Amino acid sequence: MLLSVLRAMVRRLSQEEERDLMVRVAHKDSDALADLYDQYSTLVFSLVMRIIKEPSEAEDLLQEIFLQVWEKASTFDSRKGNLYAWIVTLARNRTIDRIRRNRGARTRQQKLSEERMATLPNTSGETPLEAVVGFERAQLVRDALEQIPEEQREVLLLAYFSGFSQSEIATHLTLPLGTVKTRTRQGMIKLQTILRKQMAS
Amino acid sequence: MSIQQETFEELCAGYVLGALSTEEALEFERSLLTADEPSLLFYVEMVQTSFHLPLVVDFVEPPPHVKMKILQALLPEPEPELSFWQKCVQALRLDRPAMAWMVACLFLIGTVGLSLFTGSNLAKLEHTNNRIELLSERFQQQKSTVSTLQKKNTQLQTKLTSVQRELKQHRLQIAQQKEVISVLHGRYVRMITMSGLGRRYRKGYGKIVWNIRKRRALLQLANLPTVSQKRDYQLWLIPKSRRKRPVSAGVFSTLKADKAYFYNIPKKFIPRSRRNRKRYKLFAITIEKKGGSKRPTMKPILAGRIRL
Repeated sequence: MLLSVLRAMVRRLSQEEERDLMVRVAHKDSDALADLYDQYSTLVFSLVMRIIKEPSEAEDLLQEIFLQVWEKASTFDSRKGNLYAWIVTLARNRTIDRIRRNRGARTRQQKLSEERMATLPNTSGETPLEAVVGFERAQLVRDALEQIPEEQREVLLLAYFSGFSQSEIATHLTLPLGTVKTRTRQGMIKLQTILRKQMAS
Repeated sequence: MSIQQETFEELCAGYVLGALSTEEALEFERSLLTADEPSLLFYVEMVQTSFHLPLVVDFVEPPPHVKMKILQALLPEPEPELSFWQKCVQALRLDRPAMAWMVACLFLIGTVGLSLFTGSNLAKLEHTNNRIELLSERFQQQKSTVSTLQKKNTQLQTKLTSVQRELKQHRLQIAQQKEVISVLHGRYVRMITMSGLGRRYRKGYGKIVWNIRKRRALLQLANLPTVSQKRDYQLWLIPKSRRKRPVSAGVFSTLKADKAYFYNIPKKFIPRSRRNRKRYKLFAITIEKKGGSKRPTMKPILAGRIRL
């Protein structure tokens, strides 16, 4: 299923091509934004849907996210930036903002910086999307998540897709905050280990 | 593994998932600044691991209309029909910065000039208004002063009239006294006392001071009633002989009650020679018609015997 959807996407672009695309978007080239949309809309929409679960609101957010890409394109460092990371972080931030606002959340929670996330060194030399559309390892990501213990997976998914802070997760799962932190750390390390092994093989 | 490293890894895992509180995130970012290489490598690996999480979602393609909406939103808005003012702006090329600046400067200079001119005129006008107000105030004060002075003037006029009247009175009195003194002066002065006759005139009295040598005589009357305007007092010389008629010694009109009255008997009525003087026995006063009568028509009201 995952691979068929990804195959259905338009031709995948290399990191270099993506960077050129962002330069054009920064220069207000609407065709470039259309190409970028074709490249990332399914991923972004799916991510938003997973978080917000409401199609009409997801559509609204998708539009909002790409218009923000249009506006903020000039802040993206096209020489060393990771477009995938930038867009995914932007999309998640906007969506988490929306659900936190809908929830009337009052606690101040960390917000990931798109720029910070996008400018980290990429050790594998390819984005996860590129790796996924390389067909071999797409399912491996899901398998990796399946391999980590249930209680750790639950904490990771709640943290990433529900917009809950660790304190809120602790309240939600009626667990001590320290346990949530430990499970997060262990889950992430385990996921990273599994993924590294899979990618190496 | 140290507790510090474990804490770093816990914060790092929460950080890359965006699940820390703001304070924890700041603490982690601060610790990153002093982190060693293995810690930094751990951080990078955690970030890259977190980037895989979006891929576990069920992929759903967005509806095609979203793309259309996004691209439509990027299109510039159709130019609205220009208003007259906007057409003027275009015609004057005010959309060009240089022209706009020039027009703005001209407008500014014009506005400043007009403001200064108007301001100056307004200041003058205000000054004039202030002066008018001041003058008006002064005028009112002077008007009030004039009114006060007029009142005082009227009072003074009245006083003056009164003083003049008194003065006239005094002069008259002085003249009369001089007359009396003049008449009294000398050896040949006779005094004839006249008494009131009848009940009505009993309080009345009169004196005639007669200077025989100078042939001058002065009548002083008092306590006689005022006669009506149609009547006059008339002084008579009453002869000793019954066959002779009384002779008029003068007509005088005004007599005020309770006031002394002097009447200078005209010389023509005063007998000249001794013989003539001895023909008369009385002076008498009657009330006659206006201007006097040829002979007495009424009873005398005052009479006095002549003793020479």
